[in-house]
Amino acid sequence: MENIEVLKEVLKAIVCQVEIFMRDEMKIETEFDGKYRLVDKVELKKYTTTIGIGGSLNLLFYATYNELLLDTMTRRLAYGEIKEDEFVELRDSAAGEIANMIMGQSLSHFPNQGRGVSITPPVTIEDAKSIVKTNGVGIISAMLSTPYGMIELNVIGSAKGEWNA
Amino acid sequence: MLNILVVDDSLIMRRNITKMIESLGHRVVAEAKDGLEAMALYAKQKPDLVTMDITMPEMDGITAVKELKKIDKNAKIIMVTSHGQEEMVIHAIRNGASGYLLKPINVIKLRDSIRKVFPSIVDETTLQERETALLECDEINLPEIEDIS
Repeated sequence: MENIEVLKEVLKAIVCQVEIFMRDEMKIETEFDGKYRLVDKVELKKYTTTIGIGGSLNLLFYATYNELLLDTMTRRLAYGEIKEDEFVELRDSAAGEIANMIMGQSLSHFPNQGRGVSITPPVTIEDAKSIVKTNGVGIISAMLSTPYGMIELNVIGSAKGEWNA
Repeated sequence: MLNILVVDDSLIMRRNITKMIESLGHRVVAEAKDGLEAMALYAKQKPDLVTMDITMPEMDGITAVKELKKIDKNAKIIMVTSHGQEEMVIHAIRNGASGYLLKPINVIKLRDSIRKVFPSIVDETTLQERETALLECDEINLPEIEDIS
């Protein structure tokens, strides 16, 4: 399988699990236009969570979302009421935890059923501006809209050559 | 009531699990952010049960299970895991974990995992179930008992 196809297959698996997670766990409806775009640059929103995918694959995953969407997801992920003074810290933690759960659920849908794939702990960045493609790198992007704003999912990795499981 | 140690590197998960445990009428004696902290707190608090995340910095959940079992072979540990970590769960169970709990977590899943490890434990929901059963009994119209005295 060509590396660029691998990127697309990984992103397809993630998009599918995001839709399921948002519907079943967050009770948030998502709309996906079905397009997986090969882009040169990603403009990031307020919050971005990244997870490294290693082992038999070598990719980076980025999920970027606006404040209202992440706030809503944080309140829905939290058990019971959140006190205002704990909200900011919980929001940072929720961003990582949500990405982690989605990635975990996506793994078995990756090429070769995700065998031999490992993931890094998530990292959340606030107010980052953009990601720009360099030589030989492919960025594939998918956008989902929700009533609380857009969520953009990106997979970045080598665009050239073939991948052997 | 059980004394429980909650181990997770995620703040929101520690908070959620703690609140759920308390709603079941058990007590969280301490929270740890990684396996190393868990070891120290286990020795100090001697909890009845540990909920243990798998992927954590410093010392991961599987190593922590092995180490806890070395200091207390009767330690009861429930692994908290995401989909896709099945191999690691099997590994943890082979090393002595008592059960597992799949994220996303809710009170019912947590209660059922605890009941599997402690089948005779009475928690808040057990009490509520008993109360409901008693109320249902009260609502049954039994024939009046004849006075034969």
